[in-house]
Amino acid sequence: MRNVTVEQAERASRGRAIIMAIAAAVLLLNVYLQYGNPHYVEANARGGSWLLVIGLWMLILANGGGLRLRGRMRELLNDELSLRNRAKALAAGFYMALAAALAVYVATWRVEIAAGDAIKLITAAGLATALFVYAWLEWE
Amino acid sequence: MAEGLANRLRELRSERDLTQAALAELVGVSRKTVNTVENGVFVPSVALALKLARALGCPVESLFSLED
Repeated sequence: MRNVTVEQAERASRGRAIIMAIAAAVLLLNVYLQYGNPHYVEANARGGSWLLVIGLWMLILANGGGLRLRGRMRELLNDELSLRNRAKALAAGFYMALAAALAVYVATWRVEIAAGDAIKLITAAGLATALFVYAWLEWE
Repeated sequence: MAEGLANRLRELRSERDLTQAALAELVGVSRKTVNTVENGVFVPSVALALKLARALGCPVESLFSLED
């Protein structure tokens, strides 16, 4: 009976990994589908939704998710190994965002990229990488 | 072993008839954390090393040692 919590935490951890991987894929798909469409970077609900999505996933990534979980389950989900995995994921996301920014910078020498699209590309690349890496490390 | 740190976690855990999950429960970490420490993939903090030693009823220096 004592092992139930550990097993539940393991299942929850795998669930979290799946959700983060799906979120990363959806983020990238969003950028792909919305690229070049000015309606998605305007000051309206559609344009603002990007801020909300990025802000939400940044928050989830920063604290490991499972905001509704409390006590021991939360402790087990965010134990020492998980914190190290998150640190690795955030570092990977940071470097990917830098690489994406450089790629966008070079691309503007040849094609015109709207500021909103450039920012979306950079934030999506960084965040999706962090989410994918965290999901992978938690899953393996 | 990561960073030249050897451990006898598996050996001492088996001697006490504890599964990885049972030890994880005693220490308050995930089973995966115990597994990765055992396999030398993850180097635990001093606090976690002391908790593992306490759970196994042995001094921490008998659980972890530096490889030559």
